Amino acid sequence: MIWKLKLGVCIGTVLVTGIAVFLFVRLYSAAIEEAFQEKGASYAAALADTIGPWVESGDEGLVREAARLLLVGTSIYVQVYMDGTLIVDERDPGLEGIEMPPISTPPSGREIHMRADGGWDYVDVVIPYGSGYVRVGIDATPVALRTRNAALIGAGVALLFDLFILGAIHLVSRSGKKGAAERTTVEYGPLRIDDAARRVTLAGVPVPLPPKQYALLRLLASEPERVFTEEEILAAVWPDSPYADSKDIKQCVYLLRRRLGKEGGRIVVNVPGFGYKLAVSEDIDADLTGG
Amino acid sequence: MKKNALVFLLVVIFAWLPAAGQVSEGKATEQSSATVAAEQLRLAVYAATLALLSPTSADQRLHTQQVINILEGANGADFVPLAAEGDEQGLLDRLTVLLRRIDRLDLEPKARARARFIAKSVLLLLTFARDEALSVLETHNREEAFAGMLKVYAYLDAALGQAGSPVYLGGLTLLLRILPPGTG
Repeated sequence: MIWKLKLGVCIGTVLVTGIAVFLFVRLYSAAIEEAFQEKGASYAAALADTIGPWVESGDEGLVREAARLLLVGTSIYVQVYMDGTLIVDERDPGLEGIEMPPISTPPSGREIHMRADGGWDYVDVVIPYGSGYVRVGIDATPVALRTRNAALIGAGVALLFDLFILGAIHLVSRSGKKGAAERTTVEYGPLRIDDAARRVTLAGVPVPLPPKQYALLRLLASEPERVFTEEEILAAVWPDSPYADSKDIKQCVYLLRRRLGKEGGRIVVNVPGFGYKLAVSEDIDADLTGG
Repeated sequence: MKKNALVFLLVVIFAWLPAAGQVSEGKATEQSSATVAAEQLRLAVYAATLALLSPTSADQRLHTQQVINILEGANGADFVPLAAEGDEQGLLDRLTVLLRRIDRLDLEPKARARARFIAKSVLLLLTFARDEALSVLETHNREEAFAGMLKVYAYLDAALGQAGSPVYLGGLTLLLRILPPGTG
């Protein structure tokens, strides 16, 4: 039954992290795609702003030079139209099979489209200026690369997270077993305290104890014959009660002794001026066991 | 005597005419050189703008190198041939030559002093821009590279200047106005 539960937790963890990574990659991809398009648009706008005066003055040499300066790295084509006529058409040498017919009606504002054509994924940006428009293509491979990197990093993080969670489950399960295996039982003379069962027996006879009396007896039994001061007893038995005092200890000792029977006073011993200790002398043992 | 004076006058006039033509041609050359420099500088500002707006850091580095190429020219120590190169003579070279020639120009002393001052300032700003662009190429931190290119842009923009810039710090735009008009 437990292994089924563990298997369920494992599958659930992997599924949840898988979905989380998928969503993260989708959102991240959309965000960088948008940022890339925005940068591409500003890139093309820089060309449009710069060449405007040169186109108007007919200085096509400078317009061509500006287009060439743009055509490096991720830019794959640059076109400049003036009054519907193509005056500059610079393309990446490897760019083939992409048709870019002139736009019949020049746009009034910028236009950005993601396109896949001729084996290229690219951002097509059209920016109008005075009497025409510029058209710039920007290779979108960096977006795909970043998305792939994000997916890889996300998968790696998810894997580590899954391993961490599964490891934690394994450790908790092991510590549970270990705890079960290490059930502490304190025996001192006829007195036997089973921590796991919270059970006390005196010469084989069960002695039912409420929590405070049990805690007191357990403390004293942790080091038989050692005198525990009232401060130590208060700290161990009433850790969360700042108002507990020696009266509570006396009361608790009184009740514990009564529960332990006629030998109670000889088992939980008051050491005047110092505190209390657990003492089971041989004669008590003999008395109790009938020896 | 009168004949001699007339001959002397004619000799002086004929001697002066080619010299006047040379001065005019010299002004035209300087104006033309300054005009080309201004065009180159506009391209450099544009390349710096592209570097700042680049979608990837690889693009940014390429455009930064373009700025250096425009400033240093094909013979520059830091020139790296890229797909598209502009004028072979670098902007820094062109400005240095222009600065030397200003002294030989037929200008009023005040105008010459102003032209020299502006040309020197422009040259200094372009040197700052080149040095900053070189340091941008050395960094691999994108933020630092962006900040560096912003400085490059500022230096180049200041070197170009605007029509309304202060008369002694006007950049190339004002220099073009100081140099004799209509000869470019």
